[in-house]
Amino acid sequence: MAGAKLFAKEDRQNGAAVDIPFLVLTLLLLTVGLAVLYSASSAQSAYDTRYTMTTRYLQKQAVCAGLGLIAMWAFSRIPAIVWYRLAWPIYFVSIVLLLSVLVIGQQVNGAKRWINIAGLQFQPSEVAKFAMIVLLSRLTLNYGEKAKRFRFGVLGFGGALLGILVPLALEKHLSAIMLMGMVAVVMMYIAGTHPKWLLLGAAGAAVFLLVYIRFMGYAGDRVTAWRHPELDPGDTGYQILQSLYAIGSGGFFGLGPGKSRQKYLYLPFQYNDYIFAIVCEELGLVGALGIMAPFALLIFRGYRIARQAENRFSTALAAGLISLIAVQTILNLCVVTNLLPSTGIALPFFSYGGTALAVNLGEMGIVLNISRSGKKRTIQEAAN
Amino acid sequence: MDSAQHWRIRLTALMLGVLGFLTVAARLYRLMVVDYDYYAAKALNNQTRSTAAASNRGYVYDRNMNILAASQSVENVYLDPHELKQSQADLTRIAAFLSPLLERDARWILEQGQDLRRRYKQVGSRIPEDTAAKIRDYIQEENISGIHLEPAALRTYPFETLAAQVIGFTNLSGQGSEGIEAAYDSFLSGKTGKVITTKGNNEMDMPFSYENFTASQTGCSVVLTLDATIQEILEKQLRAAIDRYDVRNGAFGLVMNCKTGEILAMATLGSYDPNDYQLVWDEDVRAALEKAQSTYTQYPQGSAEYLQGKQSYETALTQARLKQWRNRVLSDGYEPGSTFKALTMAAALDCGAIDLNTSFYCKGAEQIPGRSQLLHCWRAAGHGSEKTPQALQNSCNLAFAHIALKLGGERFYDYVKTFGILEKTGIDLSGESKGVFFDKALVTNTDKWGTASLTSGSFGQTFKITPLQLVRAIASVVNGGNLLEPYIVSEVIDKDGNTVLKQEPTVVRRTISPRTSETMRTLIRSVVTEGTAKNASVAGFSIGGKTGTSEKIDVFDENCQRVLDKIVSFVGIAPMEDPEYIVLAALDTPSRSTGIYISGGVMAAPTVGAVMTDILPYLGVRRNYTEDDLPGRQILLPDCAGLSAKEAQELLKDSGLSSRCVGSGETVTGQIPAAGMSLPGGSEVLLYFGETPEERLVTVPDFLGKTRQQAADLAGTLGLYILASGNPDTAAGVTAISQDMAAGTQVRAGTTITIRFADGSAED
Repeated sequence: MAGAKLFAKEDRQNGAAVDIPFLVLTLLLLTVGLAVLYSASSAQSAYDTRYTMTTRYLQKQAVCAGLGLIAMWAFSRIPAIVWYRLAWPIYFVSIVLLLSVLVIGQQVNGAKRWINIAGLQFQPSEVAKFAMIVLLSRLTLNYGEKAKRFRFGVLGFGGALLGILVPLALEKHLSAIMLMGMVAVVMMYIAGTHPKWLLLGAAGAAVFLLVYIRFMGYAGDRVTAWRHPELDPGDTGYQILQSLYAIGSGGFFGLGPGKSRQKYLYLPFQYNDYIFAIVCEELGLVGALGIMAPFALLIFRGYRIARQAENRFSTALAAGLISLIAVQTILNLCVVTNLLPSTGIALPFFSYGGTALAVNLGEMGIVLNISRSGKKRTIQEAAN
Repeated sequence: MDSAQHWRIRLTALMLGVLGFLTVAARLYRLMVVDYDYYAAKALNNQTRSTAAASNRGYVYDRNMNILAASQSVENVYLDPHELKQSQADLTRIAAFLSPLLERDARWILEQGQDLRRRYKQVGSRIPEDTAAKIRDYIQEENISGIHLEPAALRTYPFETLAAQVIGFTNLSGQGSEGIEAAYDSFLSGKTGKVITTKGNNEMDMPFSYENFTASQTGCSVVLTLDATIQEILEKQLRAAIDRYDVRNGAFGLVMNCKTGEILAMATLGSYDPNDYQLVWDEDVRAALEKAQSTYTQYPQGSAEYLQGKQSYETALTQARLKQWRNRVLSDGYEPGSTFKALTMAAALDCGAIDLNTSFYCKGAEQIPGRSQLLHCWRAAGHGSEKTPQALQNSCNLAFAHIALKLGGERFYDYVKTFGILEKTGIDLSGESKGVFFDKALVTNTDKWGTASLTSGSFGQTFKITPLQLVRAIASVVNGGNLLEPYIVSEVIDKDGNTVLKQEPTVVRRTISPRTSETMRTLIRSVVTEGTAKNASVAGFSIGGKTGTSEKIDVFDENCQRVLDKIVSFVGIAPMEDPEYIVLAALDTPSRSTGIYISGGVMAAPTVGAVMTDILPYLGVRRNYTEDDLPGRQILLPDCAGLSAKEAQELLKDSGLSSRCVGSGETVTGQIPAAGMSLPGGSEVLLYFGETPEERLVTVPDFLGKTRQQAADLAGTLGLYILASGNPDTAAGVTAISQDMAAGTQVRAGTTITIRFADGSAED
């Protein structure tokens, strides 16, 4: 393990404090996210429970948030070298999990993407995202400057990526493929793969997408629903039109916290993928930008932590995890505002979904851990 | 640390920040600030429900308040699959319950209920109220959420095909299409009332409240000038003509009041039933369409043959529907042919280009100056020497060519314009066209264009006008010179019976002087008494009119040769002393196969005569018999019982009947026919003395094709009486074309059979 030498001894003992702004931003988003989730899900909860409670979704989410905070605390204390060492095992386990979904998976909303382990229902793709980021980070360190060469920068990284994408393709989990592909491209770029290959890859993906749309009627309909939702307001255009009604009717200052009208079952998925539309309706443009701002700050701060990390592995890992949050956030916002056709991508910290929230918080814990090493180094540099 | 990597991370952060967040922020600004009003309105509309929608559409009545179109409250049933799923309803049971009520397959209903992509799945359309009540009870008892009922309206047309193109129909969303339903839609439809309330989806309660109420308003009703009885008579006679002359392409006709412009009847055959307006009514066309459909469905779906066959089938279906919905009286131009000569002559007399003594000579064909082709008269032998009245009576083309030349292009064109031929009539129905007339230069600049258009135009050829344009122009010729705006709605009344709109006769302009009009009345009358239209005569009424036979100028066969299909027509007017009603009948493409000479005089004139026979008494026009009319007059047989022979004979003679005595005795003991029956004038009545006449049944023979004399002999031997109508000539060419009792019917001896005679060789 040549790379292991790069990890400072002190760092393994977690000497320095975590990055406070990053922690504060994470906790802020989590808190606001839970508050918004309560409002957005209250009507659905009331309906589901025949008007006996409005907090059904909030309760479940809060439990997961608690678990996630524990994971965040714990992960912020696990030295990065542990992830470096576990990179390959985690990678293979996640592939096995992805493949097992195809056999023992559970169908939710028409897609077979969930498995049950010891009564715990979760999406292996959440683990797979993490596994891919860790492995690409490890390869970044191992390849070093060789990443500029085709053999490593493209074939090496690409091979690792395909190992995850192929099972996902078998699951037909298009949104996860897109998400991981984009995160991987960002990571490869940061690792030093020549941009021309990445552009070529992006072009290839675009051509594939066009061909896919051309020959798969279903995806073609999706494009029509995206460009002209008003043509079929009752069916394929329903979701996006309801989202646009919610956003547009928010106006500058919104209808007021808790006062969304679209959440009364007009807007489907109002408590998960389309929660941001409720934010816009209730809090207006001001509130929506007010919520986008901490996301942006979190992302900028996260990349700063990545830059200041002590080695290429930590840099890549922090950048990868932050890229995952950034790409998810942006894709979600684009879908909700109909800049992109609808795909199932949740808004981190806000959307209802226990696994995702816990995993996101755990990942923030890892970034926090990496921020310690940066602190250490800054202190050392100051001391020198 | 690798500084290049630093920069790549910075660049990544910047890209995501700018491309991602700023793009989204700009998009939000657009949606929430720029387009706020649009989305706020959409959202409000989305979150509010309007209920109690249906307003009652007004009725359409004829002039005697017979209901031509009525509305009935019905309901639509729809499922909300989402709601059914949420409430965990037992779909299979629901489907099994609804299936017999809605007359739908239970499996189909089940599929609708399972289609989670939609919130609205209609499973029952326009079901009656009692069925709706059953469903409502079921929903209540079983406490189901997800089955909904909504009010709707069903339009019914009690007279079915009668005047279908005039009345029109309403489409599936209740809007008027075609005819009165379309033209008066804004009056008929009323205002849909609304109760607007906020409701969460799936009937969730919602703290935000918004309520608004608009009272619904029942639509106004429309009273037509149309008379269903007259309409029925017109359609019946047109249908009879279609059968008799094997007319291939339908017929159309019109009855108008020539003093007011009120439309009393307006018919286009073949018709359709507005209760089922999508159905192609013509059986032959429907059979052909069904055959075309079964042909293409044999091919595999998606194959070239399938798609091509499907497309041509759908095109043909649409065309067949549009054709049957079309009101030819005002939407389609046709060549008026010789009927137009009445206008040409009126113009020439009015401006003094000719007078009643102007002479013409017809030698069958003539080289008219300015016309390249030799002009033929319809009668190859020629009409010889004739004056103005004979020119019209004979419908002589050569004479009219000369009249046109005397009139000159300028004046001809000006009169045509005055007669309203270049404009729409302004009738209150949609879809009116104004025909196609020559460019002005074509008839006025004879130096450049020759006289072909002017001369052909004078006898109604090589241009097209609508039947309605022609009829109102001719009406002005006989009514003293007033060009009227025809109308079909006399009154619009609201639901309480208050008049909302009342139409009065409108004179658009003066066409000819009253004096010319008076002259024209005499001339037009003489066409029926002396000329080509004797077949239109009706005993006791002074009918006038003009015949027309025109070739269709724009129909070509597959070899691009002009098809010699003809439209034969007749415009009749009665009574001629003081014209009240004008009747047009036109038959499109009578078949050559019947062997009957194809002309307006032979086919259309008796059709109009038959219409007049029925409608004039109904309209209360007084009969005015002349001596000649006696056989055509119906006389109520007086009761002669108890009278002496002399008294009885006197009585019958005064009534216009003759008598013969049978048996011996003082007083009349019986008579054949019995008192109270009506007999043709001049008929012989048998008076019985001292004995009672036996009741005898006879079988009605087939009179068709018999001359007047033959028919009278045949009837005489059987003890039947004949009431003759139509062409009064006793010439050999005049034969029976219809009888009011079918051959083979058993009737009492002494019954009167009405027989219509027409000259099978009358030309125009």
